[in-house]
Amino acid sequence: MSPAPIRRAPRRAADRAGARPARGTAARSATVALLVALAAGAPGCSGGHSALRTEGTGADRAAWLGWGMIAVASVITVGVLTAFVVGSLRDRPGVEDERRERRWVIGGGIVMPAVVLSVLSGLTVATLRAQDTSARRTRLRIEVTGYQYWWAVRYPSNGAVTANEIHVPVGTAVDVDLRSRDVIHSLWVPSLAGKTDLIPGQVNHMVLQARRAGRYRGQCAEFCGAQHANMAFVVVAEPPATFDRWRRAQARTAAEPRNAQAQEGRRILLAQPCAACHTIRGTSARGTVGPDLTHVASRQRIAAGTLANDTASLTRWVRNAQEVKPGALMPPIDLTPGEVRSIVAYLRELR
Amino acid sequence: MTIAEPRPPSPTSTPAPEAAAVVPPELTVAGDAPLARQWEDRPGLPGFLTTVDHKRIGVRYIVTAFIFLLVGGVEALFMRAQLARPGGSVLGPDTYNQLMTMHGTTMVFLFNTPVFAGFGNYLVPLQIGARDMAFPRLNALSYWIYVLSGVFLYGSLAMRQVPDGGWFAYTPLTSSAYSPGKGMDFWAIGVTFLGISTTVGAINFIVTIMRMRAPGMSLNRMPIFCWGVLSMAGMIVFAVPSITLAGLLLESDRAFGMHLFDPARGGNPVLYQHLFWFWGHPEVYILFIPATGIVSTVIPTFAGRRIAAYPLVVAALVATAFISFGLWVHHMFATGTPLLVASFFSAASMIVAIPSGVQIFAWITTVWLAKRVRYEPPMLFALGFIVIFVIGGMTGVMVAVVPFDQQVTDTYFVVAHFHYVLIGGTVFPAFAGFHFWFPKITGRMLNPRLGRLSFWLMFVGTNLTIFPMHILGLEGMPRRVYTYQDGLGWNVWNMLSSIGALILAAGVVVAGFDFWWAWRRGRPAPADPWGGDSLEWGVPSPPPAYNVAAFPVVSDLHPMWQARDEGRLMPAVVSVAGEDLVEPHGEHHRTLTTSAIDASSVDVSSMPGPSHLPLVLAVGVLVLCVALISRNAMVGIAGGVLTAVSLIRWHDEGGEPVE
Repeated sequence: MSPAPIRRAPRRAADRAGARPARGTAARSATVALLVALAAGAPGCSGGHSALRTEGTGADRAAWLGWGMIAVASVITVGVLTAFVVGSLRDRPGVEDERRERRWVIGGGIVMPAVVLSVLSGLTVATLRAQDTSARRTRLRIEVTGYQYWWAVRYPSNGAVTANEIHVPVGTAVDVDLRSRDVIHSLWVPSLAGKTDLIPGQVNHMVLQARRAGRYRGQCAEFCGAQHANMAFVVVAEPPATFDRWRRAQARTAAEPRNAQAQEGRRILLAQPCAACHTIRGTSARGTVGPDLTHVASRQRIAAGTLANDTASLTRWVRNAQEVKPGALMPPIDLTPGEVRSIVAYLRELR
Repeated sequence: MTIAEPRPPSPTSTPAPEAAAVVPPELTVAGDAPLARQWEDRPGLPGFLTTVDHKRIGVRYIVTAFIFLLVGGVEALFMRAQLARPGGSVLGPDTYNQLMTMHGTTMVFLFNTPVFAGFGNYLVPLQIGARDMAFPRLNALSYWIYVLSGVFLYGSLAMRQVPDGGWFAYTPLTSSAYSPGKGMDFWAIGVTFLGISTTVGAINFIVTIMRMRAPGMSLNRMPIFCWGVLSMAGMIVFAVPSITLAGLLLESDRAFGMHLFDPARGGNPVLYQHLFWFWGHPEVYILFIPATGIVSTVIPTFAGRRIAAYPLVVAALVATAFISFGLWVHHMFATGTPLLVASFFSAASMIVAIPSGVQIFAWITTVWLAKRVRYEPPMLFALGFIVIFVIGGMTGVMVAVVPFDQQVTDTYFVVAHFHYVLIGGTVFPAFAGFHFWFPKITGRMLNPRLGRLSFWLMFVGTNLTIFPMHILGLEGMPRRVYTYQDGLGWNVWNMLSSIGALILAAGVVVAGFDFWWAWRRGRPAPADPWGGDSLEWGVPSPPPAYNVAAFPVVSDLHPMWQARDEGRLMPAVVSVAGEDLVEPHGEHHRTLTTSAIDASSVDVSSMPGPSHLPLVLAVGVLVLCVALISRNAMVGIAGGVLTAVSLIRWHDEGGEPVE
């Protein structure tokens, strides 16, 4: 039911097995089920939002590590549980042999995990170092600020500002500065990179690098209050030329409304409390509490990924945001249906 | 000291024997009137409110914890109902966040920690052949504070100010600016209040285990369950101050505007996370270690042989206790941790897997070398524990790998991981313990068919509920969301998980019915229904108020098996320095104390009897907490006076008796 045409990431060979239910119930096949279930992928569409079907450098590394660990862990789990089952089902004369006991416990419980974990530890440090160096080679910097319950996105290179939509040029490692205006949030685009927290009082950094053009869904991952569940966004990776065009467009001031209803909408919006929280560059609306609306009509979705960006949804949202996202900070505003229609007409023109 | 024994020698220090008598294998002499008179509580309500009997307190702990398990479980069912479908409308965001907060708080603070405190309370004195815990009134106090802090936390429900900032209460979300109202005050004060109970309980365990073991029970002859409790108690003493501090500082930010965690005024919210997890990570092992102690008791009993590599298993418990203090930052890999720090905590988080590996292989070796394994319900739960815990342990190693953790932390993958570890690692062992010691505690046998039924329901239910959450996390579903959109591929897994929750709940209900029915109508239990190896099986079921009339002299790790195999009665101390311990004269509770390492030099000491002070003191502190919530000075003064007076009286009473 996702109206935004989120591009389905190409599937790996293993994903073609189709949907299959997880057999988590059967004890001994639990780990096998993990493999089967993961390989099968979730039934239905999950394009652009998965830590397993990745299109970004950071997420690729994590996915490789993940698949490798799932494989090794499955082998160990099956081995250990088989030993248990076989051992407990077999009847034999009881054995009292302390040296044998010690040998098994030290061999299986100390030596084996020590070897496996040493390898894993080495891989971890190597991967971390790779992440660290990639951060120093970025060409583009983006500032993302978390708010209850939406994301402000700013391009310091030309002053473009938007919300809940991060555009990046394909193939470029983008350095993202992360700040929070209120509580702790966490920026996560599972198909592109692991998450990093947005913490008030400090600036965190992460690198986003998409290998292919596409739309990748992201979501807040740190519990941030009533509407934590509806704090999503999208990363749009596009060819550099398209990206540059988009960035220039987003830096412009708002378009003049072309018809009477939209002009009326602008008048109402600027007279109502809306302007106290929202900015529309080129008008007197300069609020900084809510998302910048200068080019709101160019976005795919509104209310941090909650609704499609169409007239019906905008009307619902402007009429009473609390019905859509109870606990969000946008209060219900006393408007007649006509006023709502006019405001929506204006918003639809802010391309 | 007089050792009554069928034949010498005894390993203890041996003062000149004054008399010799034969003690039956049951360490209790039937009908020993003076002891019973001394130790039994008054009947009815006065006895109920003033008892310091570790067995009554232990049972109360377990029953109370079980009730909180049901409460937390119902909260979980509501959440699963909401999440069964995308865009669910069972709960609104506020109610969901309250339930989520209370579910975590209830399960960790009010079920999981206390249930093992209950087992420890009931079993430690019996297993080490003591008559009570070292500080009986302190023991009663820790129970009353536990139950009253539970009442306090749920009092938020009555005031409709339920905590909703998550059980971890990260600030600034939980600061007064973003969580106005009293909800998070209930949480911060309640958790601090409960910390008193946990801490005094832990100190009591340490002193009891170190100084009250039966003569001859040197540390290398101590049951593994007692080692588990000792390790747990040591960890509590060092870990709980950190959560107490976190709670107090959070509350002073909220109540007095201290700005400790407020970045706008130079505070740092990440400091709170450090304080929380410096307790929070050891806490995982605080829950898990006594649980493995139960498993290491149950498996050898039903395998009919001693546990493999006992010294290594004990070393693993103690090592876990130490290493667990070096892992806390692995909860914070997404906070922008520097490379070096992340690498260190990643490696430490992997190292802690090794002691768990030692235990798992000790259990494998035990069943492998056993003649025949009996599949009674306690054993089923212990085996179910191993299956679930091994899977949880594997995902535990995976989340220690920083780049992978940055993907899965704060997603359902981590929810799956720690539910595997906590349900598998603590709930299943707790149920193994319920089934194993139920006959001892109540004198009644459970119905094994119901036990098997509830095991299979719980086992299937747990896996069906939790396993799909791994996939949800990898498919991008974050934690702590009250709803999700359709079309993300999460629907099927969520529905499966919700169905599993119902099956799990059915298993718990069956178990609850089994316990309730058997307690009233069950077949009478013998002293030792399973063929156990430790001393609690040498006393009748249920044990008498004084536990043991004569104090057993231990010369083996498995005293009951030794007595059985050698076909002889256990030697026992009946008097020390002319004082008859079996038929005492005075009114005071008397018990043996021994030296810390090898339990050799024997002494007799007095213990306080029943007292109303623990309850009064606990109520006094509760009133102080209510005063902090209501910001009412008069209530505060009342609570302060009540607390001070009962503390003063506490030190007046119960000292050494005047001979």
